[in-house]
Amino acid sequence: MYGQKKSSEERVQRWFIIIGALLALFLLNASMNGELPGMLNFLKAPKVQLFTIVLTAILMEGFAFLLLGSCLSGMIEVFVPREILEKRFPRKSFPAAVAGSLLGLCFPVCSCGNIPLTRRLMKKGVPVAGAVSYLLAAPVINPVTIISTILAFPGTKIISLERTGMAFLVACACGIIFGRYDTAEILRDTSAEEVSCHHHSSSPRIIQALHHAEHDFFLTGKYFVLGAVTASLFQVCVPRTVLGSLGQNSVISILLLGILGMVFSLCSFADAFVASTFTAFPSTAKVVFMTAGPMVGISLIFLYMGTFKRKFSVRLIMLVVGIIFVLGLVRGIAGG
Amino acid sequence: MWKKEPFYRLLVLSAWFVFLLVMLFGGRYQTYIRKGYGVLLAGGLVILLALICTGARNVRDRSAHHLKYTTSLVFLILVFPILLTIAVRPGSLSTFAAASRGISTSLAGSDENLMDALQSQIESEGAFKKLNIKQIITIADREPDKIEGMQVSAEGFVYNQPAQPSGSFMLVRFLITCCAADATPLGVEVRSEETLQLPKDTWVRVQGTVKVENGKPVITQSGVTQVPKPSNAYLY
Repeated sequence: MYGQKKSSEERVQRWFIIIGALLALFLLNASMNGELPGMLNFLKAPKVQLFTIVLTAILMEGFAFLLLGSCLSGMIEVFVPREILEKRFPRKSFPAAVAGSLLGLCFPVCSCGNIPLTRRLMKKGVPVAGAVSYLLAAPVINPVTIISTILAFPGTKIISLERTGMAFLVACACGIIFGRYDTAEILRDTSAEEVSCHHHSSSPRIIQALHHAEHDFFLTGKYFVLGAVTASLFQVCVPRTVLGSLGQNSVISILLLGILGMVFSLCSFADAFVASTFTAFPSTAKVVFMTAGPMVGISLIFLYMGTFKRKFSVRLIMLVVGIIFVLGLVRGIAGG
Repeated sequence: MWKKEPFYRLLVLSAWFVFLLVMLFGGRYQTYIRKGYGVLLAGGLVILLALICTGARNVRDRSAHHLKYTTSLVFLILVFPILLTIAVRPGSLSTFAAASRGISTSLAGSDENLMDALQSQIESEGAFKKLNIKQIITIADREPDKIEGMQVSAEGFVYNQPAQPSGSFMLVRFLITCCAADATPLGVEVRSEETLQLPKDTWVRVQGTVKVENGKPVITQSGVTQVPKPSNAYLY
């Protein structure tokens, strides 16, 4: 197994060297022919500029929360005994799911930051129902997001209540459904971390915590970058103006804004203000936009797939999307 | 075993540390995220510094070479955004982003009695009150009688809408909540009797009289002066 990994790693490095060398030769040739300045003009193209700004913006803001989440995760691993979490957290699915959904009121970490935290909580004995519901609910059910939603819709404070309610229902439902899963069916292989954990067990505890934090950051960071790249591409290629007059039909508008929320992957503190600009759309569609993005945005999908096992990730994403759309359609048909 | 792995992890962490440090202390982070979020960057820098110190320990510790949970592709992915930003060196959001996102001429908010609240803060440029586009739009929506006929001075960049009547353009600025990803372009129509040949993305100061038409402000009888782009191009 180790021999296979080593040879595939060497193959990847060899390809990098070959591609890098070809690129360098290509650029050298272009430079000698005086073609380089013209070729580099594409860097000034509006789409490239916008892509770079959006990508850097998402990463700059998200990395801070990712680092914070990784740090908290490391601290929990080292300083919080497993017994405390096992004793204090409800064990049965339903109360665990409810408790997990409301935990974001105390620990308001951004959606990308709470993934390493959730992973750590699961490993530390928090029931799967509680961990899954926290994962989904925390980005929406927290004081900052609730207040920002109220501010974005001053004339209709009920929207904030609907958003919070929808997130609570989705998180609890998913927590209860996945509560029967074992942690081993959810978390990816952690043997590398266990090897390093054993190696560092004689270090001071704060060093151990930082070591875990570093591991979590690298584990989730690469997927966050890939997710941010995808979200940025969508932002460049899918103009918001495409919405046009599609808000007239409540079913289409709910589906459309739900997909847009997933594609734009906006921060849960800010998406309410973006949603408030969709004046042609019914309020239910805006609630779906504001719930889908922080739970199953494109960048989060990458993080889920990288942090959890593929089968679980796919089922989680499909279940969340399904419940959000069903709730949205029911509410829309009921007259929202 | 790839013995250089702890060193490359240290390199990635250091690259991000230097990048965020330059962005923070150069003020350039305001191109990407909200002004007050420098605190977030500072917090991230502190955590990165702690991770770098831990990483340096790993590099010195020979037996740490047993660790292997990242690949060269991962390193490339993690440094790619830094390399891209250095190569592209983007300015702030422009008319392309405005066209893509659609100009908003109205704004949600709870700024009641905004005019009274602003009274003590508004600066004047001669006979003109200095207001930004967000303030103009919000007051026109909530207290139109207080801004009708007011002489204002506002800055923004030129945006020429398709099928726009001659002698008018949209004065636009981006409103940011968290970061450039959520930035919404706010626009006010400007009408001027002068024949204007202003290319898009030109930053101008407009001085004129506000008229409210269907709840939307229009700046008329405008004098337009080209100005340099402000250091912080966004509104909050």
